Amino acid sequence: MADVPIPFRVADRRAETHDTWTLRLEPAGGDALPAFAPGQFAMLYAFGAGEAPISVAGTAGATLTHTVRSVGAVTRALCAAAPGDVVGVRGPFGTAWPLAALAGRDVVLVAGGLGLPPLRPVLEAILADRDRYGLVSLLYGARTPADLVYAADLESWRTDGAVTVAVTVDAPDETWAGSVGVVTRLVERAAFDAGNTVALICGPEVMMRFTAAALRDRGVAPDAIWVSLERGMTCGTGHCGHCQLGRLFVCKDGPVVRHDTVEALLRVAEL
Amino acid sequence: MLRRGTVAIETHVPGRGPVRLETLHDGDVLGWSWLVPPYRTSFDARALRTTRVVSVDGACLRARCETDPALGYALLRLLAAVWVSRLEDARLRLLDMYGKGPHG
Repeated sequence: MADVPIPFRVADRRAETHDTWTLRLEPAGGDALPAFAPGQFAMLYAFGAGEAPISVAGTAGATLTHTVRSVGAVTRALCAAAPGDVVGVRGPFGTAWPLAALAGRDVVLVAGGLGLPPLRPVLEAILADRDRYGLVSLLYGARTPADLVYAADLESWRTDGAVTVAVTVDAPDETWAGSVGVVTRLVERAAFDAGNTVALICGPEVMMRFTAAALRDRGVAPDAIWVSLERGMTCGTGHCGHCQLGRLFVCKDGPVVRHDTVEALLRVAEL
Repeated sequence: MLRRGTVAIETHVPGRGPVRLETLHDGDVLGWSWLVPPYRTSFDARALRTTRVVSVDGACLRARCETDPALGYALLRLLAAVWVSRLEDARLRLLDMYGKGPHG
């Protein structure tokens, strides 16, 4: 793990939505970072603007893929980075999705909004070794059709047929022919053997709370539901305390945690 | 009751045409205006693909429930669960939870 940002060059930049971009980053010099596992995050440094924690959405050798939504000064600068520009990268930070625990089980991936990028490397790992897993479902909810990221990938995953892909939006436009409603409704309709299922959820905290409840209503064991938390990670090493959630420092004890271990903490309004 | 298919709940908005509010799928319950006075539907329903439903005569079922409270109570328990679920969905959507938050 690097304590100082390592320079990475923007190799490719792709618009996902009107405010969200996917950056492919390659090491700009001789320094490299340890391998990132799905679920971990990097601190991306837009020089002159600051750092932001961004989950890894894909890796290929030393190349990192991140999907960033422009919501503030730092992420706006990152989204504006053009191919050839250099950004700083620290990491990998935090805990990873429990890939080993998925083997031989049905897998339900539930993503809300920009929660899909952290789950994307899990899906890619599953597809790379598909026979190791049972039924696999990707359930994805977004605000509008225009807010869906990875549109081409979603279509590819859907047509490939190796996993079941269900997408819903809260507010459709006139072009949308798919499901309308909250992502929790997709849980009710998904095909899986609840007693042999592991679920990974990533999205807004309230969405994860209701999704976990829907999964438990379907019979998924509390210790088989994992979530990825987001709480103001700043230093990435558990020292600054900005991401503290009760006894946890989300940057190092998370972001991926078993839901039943944090369920009570997430109900405390002051945390 | 939708046995199989997809139905959109819509309403017409002047200047926008039919606005889709929700889609219903296999096993979902469609409509309860038959149960509550003045028995007037509030929204439109449009089948988006070939859809098979079980349709019940509302007036007949109301009369049965009046004469058979056990049936009425069982039916209301089932419908109440649907209403609670739909209300919860509507509240979640009011939150606009995919706004500008970290994972929005």
